[in-house]
Amino acid sequence: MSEFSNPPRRALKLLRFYCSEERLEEIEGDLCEVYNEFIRERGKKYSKIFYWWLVVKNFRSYALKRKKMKNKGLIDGLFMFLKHNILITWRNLLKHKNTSVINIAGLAIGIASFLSIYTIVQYELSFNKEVPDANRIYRITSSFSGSFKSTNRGVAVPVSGHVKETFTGMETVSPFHNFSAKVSIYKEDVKEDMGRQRTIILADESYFDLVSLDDWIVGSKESMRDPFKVVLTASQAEKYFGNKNYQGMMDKEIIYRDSLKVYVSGIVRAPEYANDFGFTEFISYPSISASWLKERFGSDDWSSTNSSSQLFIKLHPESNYEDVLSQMDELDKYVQEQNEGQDWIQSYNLQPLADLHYNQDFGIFDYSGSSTHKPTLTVLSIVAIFLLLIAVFNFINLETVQSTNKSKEVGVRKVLGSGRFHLVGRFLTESVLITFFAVIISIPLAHYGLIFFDEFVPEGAVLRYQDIGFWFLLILLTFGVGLLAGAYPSWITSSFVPIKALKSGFNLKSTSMRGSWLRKALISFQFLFSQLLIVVTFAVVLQISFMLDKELGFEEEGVIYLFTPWYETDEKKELLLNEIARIPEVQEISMNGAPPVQNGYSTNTVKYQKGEDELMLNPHQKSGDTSYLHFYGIELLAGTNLRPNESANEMLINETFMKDLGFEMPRDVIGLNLELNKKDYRVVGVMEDFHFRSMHHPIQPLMLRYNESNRCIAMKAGSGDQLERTIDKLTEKWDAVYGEIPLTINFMDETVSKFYESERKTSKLASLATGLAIFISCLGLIGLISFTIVQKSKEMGIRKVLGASVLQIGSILSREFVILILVSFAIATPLSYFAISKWLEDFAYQTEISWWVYGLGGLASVIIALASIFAKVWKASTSNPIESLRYE
Amino acid sequence: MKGTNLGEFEELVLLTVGILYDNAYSVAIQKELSKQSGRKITISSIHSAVYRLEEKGLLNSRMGDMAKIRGGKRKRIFTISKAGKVALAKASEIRNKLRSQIPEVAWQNLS
Repeated sequence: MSEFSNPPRRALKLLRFYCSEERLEEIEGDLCEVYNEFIRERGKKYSKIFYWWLVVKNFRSYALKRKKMKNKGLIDGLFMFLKHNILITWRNLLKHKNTSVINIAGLAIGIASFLSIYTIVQYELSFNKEVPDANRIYRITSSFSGSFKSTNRGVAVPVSGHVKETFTGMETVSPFHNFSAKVSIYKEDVKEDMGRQRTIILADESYFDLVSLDDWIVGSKESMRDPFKVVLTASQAEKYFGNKNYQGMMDKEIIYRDSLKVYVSGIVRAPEYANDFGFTEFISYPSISASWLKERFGSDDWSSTNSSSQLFIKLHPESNYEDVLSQMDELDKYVQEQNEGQDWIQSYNLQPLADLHYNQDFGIFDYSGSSTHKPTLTVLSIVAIFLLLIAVFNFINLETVQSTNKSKEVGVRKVLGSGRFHLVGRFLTESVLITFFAVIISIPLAHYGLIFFDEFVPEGAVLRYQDIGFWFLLILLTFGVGLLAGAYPSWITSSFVPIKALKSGFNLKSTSMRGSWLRKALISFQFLFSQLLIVVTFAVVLQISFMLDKELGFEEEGVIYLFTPWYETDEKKELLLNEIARIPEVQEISMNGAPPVQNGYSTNTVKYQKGEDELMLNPHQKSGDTSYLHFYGIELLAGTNLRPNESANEMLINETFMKDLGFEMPRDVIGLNLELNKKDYRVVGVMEDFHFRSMHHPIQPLMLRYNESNRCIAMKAGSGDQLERTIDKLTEKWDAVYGEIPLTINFMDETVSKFYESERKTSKLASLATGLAIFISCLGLIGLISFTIVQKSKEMGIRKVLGASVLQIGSILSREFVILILVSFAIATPLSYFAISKWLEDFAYQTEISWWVYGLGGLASVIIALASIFAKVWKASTSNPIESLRYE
Repeated sequence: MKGTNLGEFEELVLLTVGILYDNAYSVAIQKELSKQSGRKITISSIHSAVYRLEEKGLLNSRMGDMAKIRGGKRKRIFTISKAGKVALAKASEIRNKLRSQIPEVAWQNLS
């Protein structure tokens, strides 16, 4: 045993790696001894290999780390760790009830708003995504250029036939017409009115292939080949017949507009995913040519395009999009040949199905609501994330300042050997657990929130409990928010030096200061966001009231109007008119093609020979009787009113039109000849400009002509009781003349205010978000101030003893927040200016947003913040100093 | 399935532990057993045997002193437990009992 050699290092390392701690010492010793003996007996040659061999051979069950046992221990340990943490968390929650409530409530509201907005956005984005082969489906839409520029979601009726004949590479070509009609059904020989249905289409069997509507209960798509057949969706059939006996509904008669009789030939189940094809009844295509429908939908005019005449194609899976585009070019050429002689060009384009729900220019279908504005969804998502962040910031702030409360716990744990990561784990468990409670509470909040705020929640946007993704999102939120909110506070809390933490009188001075810049930044951000929302909401409200209050340039007060049915005779209209004239409450009547403002609009091409040049204009057109000007109080700047004679070919134009024609003085333009519909019209007067469209649009050129066949009857009928009596009598007269056709009475001021429906929605949504943001931030403020008050109670006591007033104490306590709000105000102002200008760009007429609106945001948040902490501060500053000093 | 039954190798190890009394650690057992039986025995087979015997309760053990040649590591000293003694006795008893029952004639004409 003269000398000793150490075994090869790497082999030793391997041994130490796999060998259990329990056995390592003896085995390592044994191997070492054997190794040295080997060297002594046989020399160093091969000795290393021998040792390696020993180590490898030693790789047996007795020496190995007991993996199984260890693992079990780990899981047990983790479980213990969690159980222990959860218990302590629970105790902590109960101990600091106020903070817990604020934390959980803030997070729950933040998460609930996030969930609701997520649900809405998700729903809106899911539209038509699940339609089978959605990526191969396109709608053919029209756009016009030349003498007028416009778009239309429909096509000229003969286009569909042409596409069917000439296009290659199509799986399905499906034309259909949107149709709306009063529906009635005979039930036991009694005709029963089912009301007006808007979700009707006239379609052929290809429609069912297009959207893969193939869940037939009875009947089949082939039945659509015959005239006077109708297929219903299951839900519509149940609505009509009141039972689920689908077989018994076959061949039942359904009557549209009292005159079109069709027979049920099939019932199909509609898909449940979100889609725009919400049609409920499908009248067979051959019915068009066999009935009066042909007047409306049976046209073979290439130059007339109606938005209700839809054409969809589904490409063959193998066909090439480029090929289809070139075929579309061919189609355009063909259409131009057909429309030879028109001074405009119609071209057809493909609109992918994915675009259908979101394209503002085309809209969806005639019956559908307005299409979804994608940028709005983006803004909504940003608001959702910020609301969530505000709640997270609350949590971070409260937990950070509260960390002193945990100093003793941290001290004791560290003394007992807890590492920093154990502590971080312990506090993260706490924050995840608190978030978990918040998520649990947020589910019913979001559920009922979505129901309660149905004004801006689209129908069908509900929490998708049946969806695994939804639960996954909840889990993600729990951990994401929990970890995000808990990371910083737990890091700070676990950093305490145990001796200092355990020393009595441990104060936050050293530790809290470290986090104070972050806390300040977070508070500033919360108020920044709140202020931004306050100012933007206010600006939206201001703009709406500006638009509603702005002089329209015509009289709208107390004007009501109604349209007579276009398919009824003129005699009936005259009859009704005479009847109305006899109602004593009606003060004035005017017949016109359309009231000064209306939802739709109509334009026409006018040619003007100005010297050598031919000027082409595309003014809006309206028509009325001679009372139009007087009835609506529209001023004539020059010239005379129209004569009651259609063939006189006279027109009135507005100021803008006059300026577009290149004239400055109204009287100069009188007597001018303009060519319209290949006829010469003479300008006899110039009207003062009035707003005939919403304030989104600048006033455009307009011409007014005399027309005898007007359908709109406008009348002034006073207000209040008088108005109600008028409406009663009006309804009576209407029923006498038109029988079952429903009467719709429009109020002019309502029509105007309906223009701003979406703005009003925006303002409501913005106020809601503002309220939530302010509420969550104020919750946080209250939590922070109550903590500060506890911390500073002795200081306040001493100050009071020395003679400080209530006001002074209050200002000391709240000074920090006011400064922070002012800082955030400085940042919020340019941001909100930017946001508002961006939003106002949509309007041709914008209200002035004066400086005080911005100031108001700052002021409001200071006031709200002070008000929310007032009670706490008041209590602290009026309390008897003895209370806080007594124990010293 | 670990009863008190002894395997052949286990029995030899157990006996060797007895022989080495109070100095019975793995390397010593290996040397002694190799010497006595003339077999080539690796250290790891000794390890697996002694640990198994200890688990069966036939051996007791304690940590002994360290030695330089062991790289300063202590050795584990094994001693026979009561159960070990019983097991050894039982094993040789069974063997003797069986052996005594072999008829004399069976020993003749062995090829």
